[in-house]
Amino acid sequence: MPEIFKTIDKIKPAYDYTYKVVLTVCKLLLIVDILITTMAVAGRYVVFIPDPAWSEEVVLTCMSYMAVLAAALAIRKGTHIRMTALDPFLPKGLVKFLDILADLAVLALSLIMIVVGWRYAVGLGAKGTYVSMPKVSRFWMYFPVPLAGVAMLIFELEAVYNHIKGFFVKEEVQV
Amino acid sequence: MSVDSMAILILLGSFFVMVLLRFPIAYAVALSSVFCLLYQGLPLTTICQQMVKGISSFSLMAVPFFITMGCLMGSGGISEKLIALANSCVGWMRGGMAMVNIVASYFFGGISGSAAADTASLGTILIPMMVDQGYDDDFSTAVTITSSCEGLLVPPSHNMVIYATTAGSISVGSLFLAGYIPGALLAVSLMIGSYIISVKRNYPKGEKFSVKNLIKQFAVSFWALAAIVIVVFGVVGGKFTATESAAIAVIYSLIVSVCIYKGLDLKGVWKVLENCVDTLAIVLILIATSNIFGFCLTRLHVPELAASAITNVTRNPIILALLLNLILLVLGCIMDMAPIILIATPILLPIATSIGLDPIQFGIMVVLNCGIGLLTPPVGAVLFIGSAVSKVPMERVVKATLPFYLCMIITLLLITFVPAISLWLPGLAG
Repeated sequence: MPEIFKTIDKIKPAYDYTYKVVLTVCKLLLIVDILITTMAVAGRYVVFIPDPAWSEEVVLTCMSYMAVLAAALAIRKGTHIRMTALDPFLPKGLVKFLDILADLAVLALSLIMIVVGWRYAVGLGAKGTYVSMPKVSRFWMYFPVPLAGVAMLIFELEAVYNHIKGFFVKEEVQV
Repeated sequence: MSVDSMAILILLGSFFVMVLLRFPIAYAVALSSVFCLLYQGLPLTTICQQMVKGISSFSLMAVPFFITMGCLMGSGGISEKLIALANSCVGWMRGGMAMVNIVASYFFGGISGSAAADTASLGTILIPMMVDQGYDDDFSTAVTITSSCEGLLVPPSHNMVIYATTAGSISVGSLFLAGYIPGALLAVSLMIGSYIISVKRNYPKGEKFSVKNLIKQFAVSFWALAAIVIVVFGVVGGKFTATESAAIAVIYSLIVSVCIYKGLDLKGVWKVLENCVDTLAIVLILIATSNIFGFCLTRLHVPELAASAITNVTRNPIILALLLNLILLVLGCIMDMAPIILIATPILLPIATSIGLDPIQFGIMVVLNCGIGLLTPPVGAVLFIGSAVSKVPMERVVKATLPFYLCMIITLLLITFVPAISLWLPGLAG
C-alpha cells in the first residue's frame, strides 16, 4: 500500500470517534424530544407538571438537528436508500464508478448546503426570533442546513478517500 | 397556467437519471431540485427554507416516535408472547402455524408498524418452528413475508403519518382507523390462501382450541397490546395528537419492555436507540429534501399537468383507479416505501380525488401497493430479509409467494373499488 495511505489512515480513529460522538448526540436529541413532548402532554392533565410554551419549537429544532446529523451517519454506513436493483446485471467496475460519481455529487451538494445554508442562516434566517423564545435567534432554526453540509462533507470525504484507496490497494494486491 | 416544460424535464429527468445512476434517493431529490431552481433563476436559499419547513412539522414528529416505540417493543421480548396469543386463537386450524404467523403479524404489525421488523422478528422464531412441524421452508417464508404487510396497514403506522403529512389536511386518526379493516381483510385473504395450500399439502393442525389458554395468553400479551390502545384511542378520542400519543407510547413501551417483560436492560435500550437512529437517518432527511422537490413540483404545476395528462388518456374511473394501482405497484418494485409516498403522493393524489377516491382510501391503497412492492423483486427489502432469515434462495421464495400475491391483489382491488372497507370505521368515529 502506498505510504501516503498509511499516513492518511491515521485519521481513521478520529473519524470513528466523531461517528460515536455524533451518534450519541442523535440519541440524546431523540430522548430530549420524547421527554419534552411527553412532559407537555402530561402538563395538560397534571397540575404540577409544567407545559412550557417553548416545547413544540424546541422539539422541532431538536428533530432538525437529529435528522441532519443522523443522515451524515448514514453516509458513513452507506445505508441511504438507493436503487440497487440493476447492480447484479452491471459490471463491478461500473458499479464502483457510479458509487464514486454519486459520492462526488453528494459532496458537491454538501458544499452548496454549507455556503447557501450559512448565508441564509446568518442573513434572512437570523432576522427573527423563535415565537415562544423571544431571546433566541431563528439562526438556530436554519443552522441545521449548513451543519448538515459540514457533516455530509466530513463523511463524504472519507467515502471518496476509501474509493481512491480501494483502487491503489487493489493494484498492490494484483502485483 | 404557464407551463415551463424545460424546468419540468430538468426536475424529473435529472431525478430519474440520478436514481438510475444509484445516487442516494434523498440526495438525488435535493440535487434535481437544485438544478431546477438554478434553471429557473430562483435563489438557492429556497433549499434552506424548504428543508427546514419540511422537517419542522409537529405531526411528522410522530414518525421517529413510532419507530422508537416499534424498536423498543420488538427488542423487548414481545414476539414470543404475541405468537403464543395467535396460537391460542387460530393454531387449532389446518395449517395452524401458517394461521398463527398471519395473526401474529396483525398483532405485531400494530406495534412495530414495519414489515421489515415483523419479518426479521417473527420470522426468526416462526419459520424454524413451521419447518420443524413439517411445513415447507419456502411456504413458511412466503407466509411470513406476505403477512408482514399487515403491519403497514394496522395502526399505528409511521408510513401513514408520512402520507397524511404529505397529502395535507388528512386526519392521522381517521387514517389509523381506516387501516384496521383493510389489514384484517388482507389477513383473512392470506389465511384463505394458506388454508387451501395447507389442505392440499396436508400440513398439520395445532393444539385444540381452549378458551382458558386464550384468556391466559391474552393476559400475558395485554401490556404490549395496550400500547396500540393508548395510541389509537388517544388520537381518535381527541385526547392527544398523533405525535403526543406516539411520545407517550414510547415511554409506555420502555416501561413494558424494561420493567414488565424484562426483555431489555438500560444498556439494551441504549443499543435499541442506535437502531432507531439508523432508521431515522434514512427517513428524516428524505422528508426534508422531498419538501424542496415538492415545492418545485407545485411551482411547476406538475400535479395538475399529470392529472390532466392521465385523465386525457381515459375518463373511465375504473381504468384510472387500476392505472393508479399499476403506477404505484411499478414504483413499489423499484423504490422503497418512504420515497414513493413522499414523491408520488403530491402527483397522484389529485388524480385519485378527481375520480372520486377519498384521500384516506387512496392512502390505504398507496400503503398496500408499497407493501406489495416490498415483496417484489428486484428491490423488495422484505423479500431479501425473509430469504436471509430462512436461508431459502430468493427464487424459491418468490415462487412460493405467487399464490399470496394473488391474495394481496384481490385485497387491493377490494380496497380500491369498495370505499366502505377503508371509510366505514373513520365515518363511524365521526
